[in-house]
Amino acid sequence: MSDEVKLSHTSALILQIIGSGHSYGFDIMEATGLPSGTVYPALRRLEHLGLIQSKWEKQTKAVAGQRPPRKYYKLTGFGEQTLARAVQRYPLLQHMALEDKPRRS
Amino acid sequence: MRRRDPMLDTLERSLLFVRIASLLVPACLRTEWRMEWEAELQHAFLRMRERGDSEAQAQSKLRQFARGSLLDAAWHWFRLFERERLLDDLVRCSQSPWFCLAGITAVIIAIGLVSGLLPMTRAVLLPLPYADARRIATVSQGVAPLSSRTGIQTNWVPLWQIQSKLLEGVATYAWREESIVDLAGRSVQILGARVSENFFSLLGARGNDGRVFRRDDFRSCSDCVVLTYEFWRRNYGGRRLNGNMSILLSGKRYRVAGVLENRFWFLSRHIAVWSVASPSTQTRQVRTGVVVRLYPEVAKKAAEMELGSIVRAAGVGAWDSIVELSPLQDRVRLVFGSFALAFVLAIVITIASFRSRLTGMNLRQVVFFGVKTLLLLIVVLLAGLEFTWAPSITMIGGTDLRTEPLSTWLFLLGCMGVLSWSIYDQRRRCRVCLRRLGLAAQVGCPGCLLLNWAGTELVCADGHGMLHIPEMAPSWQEPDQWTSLDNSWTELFAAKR
Repeated sequence: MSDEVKLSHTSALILQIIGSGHSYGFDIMEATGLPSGTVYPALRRLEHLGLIQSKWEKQTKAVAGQRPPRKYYKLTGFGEQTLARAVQRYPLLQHMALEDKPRRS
Repeated sequence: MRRRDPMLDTLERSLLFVRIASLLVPACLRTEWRMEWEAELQHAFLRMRERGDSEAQAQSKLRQFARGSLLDAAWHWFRLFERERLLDDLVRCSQSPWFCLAGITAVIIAIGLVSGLLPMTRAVLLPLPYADARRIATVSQGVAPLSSRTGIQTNWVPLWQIQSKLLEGVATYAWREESIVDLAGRSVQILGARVSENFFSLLGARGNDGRVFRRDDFRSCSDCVVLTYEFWRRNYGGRRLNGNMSILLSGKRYRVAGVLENRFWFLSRHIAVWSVASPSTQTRQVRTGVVVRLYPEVAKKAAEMELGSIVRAAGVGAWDSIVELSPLQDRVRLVFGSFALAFVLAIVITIASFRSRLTGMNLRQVVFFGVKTLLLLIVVLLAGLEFTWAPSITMIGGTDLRTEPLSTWLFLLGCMGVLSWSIYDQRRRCRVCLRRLGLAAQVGCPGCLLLNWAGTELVCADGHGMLHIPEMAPSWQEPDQWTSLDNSWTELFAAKR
């Protein structure tokens, strides 16, 4: 895998949002304001590049929350490095207002 | 009965949409992909409920959210086939000789469909829909083709009707643009023909519904019209005629006496309405089209001489009295004559303009070249017949001096175009597998032509050989040089694939 992954602004934004704690598709969509047709393919691409990894929530936890299980995404080590480089490239990403950390309910 | 929650309905429809979109996702990933999207839809649904979004807003958002699943599924589908590989395969497919032949065949099918199953081609090729059509001929004045467009002086017609011993009947026709009001109340421009009352009986045409014109109709049925079947079917739904059906033609109301049989056409398939012409306009100045039926076994030449002598006896000069009979079936098929002439001219011009000869072709190449060229010529011929007025023009004589030569010129240009392209395409194909050559590389320096070779090299993707096309070919040399590559190259090209 190349160390020099150049991300588009949208991908960098999604990476930043995941890094800040928003961790499943709909949540990321709401935090970024991007449509589902952009967010989900971007998640696939980022996962394919090894920048994020996904994990299904335990069934018991979902049942306790009376909802279907979620697929959570989190940054890999390589994803964190790439995000750091992306932030240098897109300085405005740093100033994204991310006041609410997601609550895993 | 309890009303169903519309939000739940929207959720169910969205889940169904996701299920359909999932068909694009490779089977090995489909279950998990669907699970995630179904869960995400339900999260979205619950979140909107929690937030208290209005029903309409929530439904719209949910639908929009579900639509994104299609793009996500498409991403998986596209990745499965790998974009570059897909494009490579497409390019490779487009280079194959079968693709070329299939493409041209598709154009022929498209012409057939667009034209409504080749009505003009069928009309020209099939026997004319008249009783004993070999005895039907049109009459034109003078031997020069251009004068035939002027028609016949109307006052000659009764002379021939009374005095001719070789003609079974003489009828007149004329046509012009008219407007008609259709069932929806719209004014439509059509071609209308005015014919003598014996016109249909002379041709032996029958009605599909109602009747056609007959003797004394100008007096008893002067406000009657007969409609062409296709026009009747398209504009009036082909319903049965009743006694009081009428149409508004150029501001005047006419009774519909009948509808012609399906295959009937004369002059042009575009003529929609037929009405009875007034027999009173028999002056020298008015000209009209004349169609005659010869008695059986009467030679065309004898009939021409008889018609000429009748008008000479009425005081017409010798030169003006020359008339020409054109059997209708021959006249309709005259279009093939002018097209054949154009085709021969196109071959001569194309061969002269292409300095290189297509020599040294093996049987497979010859067959491919022949089939490809034949299909291309069929395209031009069908387009010429269906989308120009050529068949009608040769039948009626052009309405002006430009239309007939123009259609022949267009056909000539079309033939030259397809022949040139066919030869060009053949020269750019592999001599072994007939694939189009690719991977073009510019070689040498165009400014150093005196001492070095400069031009383009094309390679067969299967490694059969290379084609060298010089930037400027000297007159003593073949413009293209083909170099066959031996088996030692096979491995390299196989690795590329």
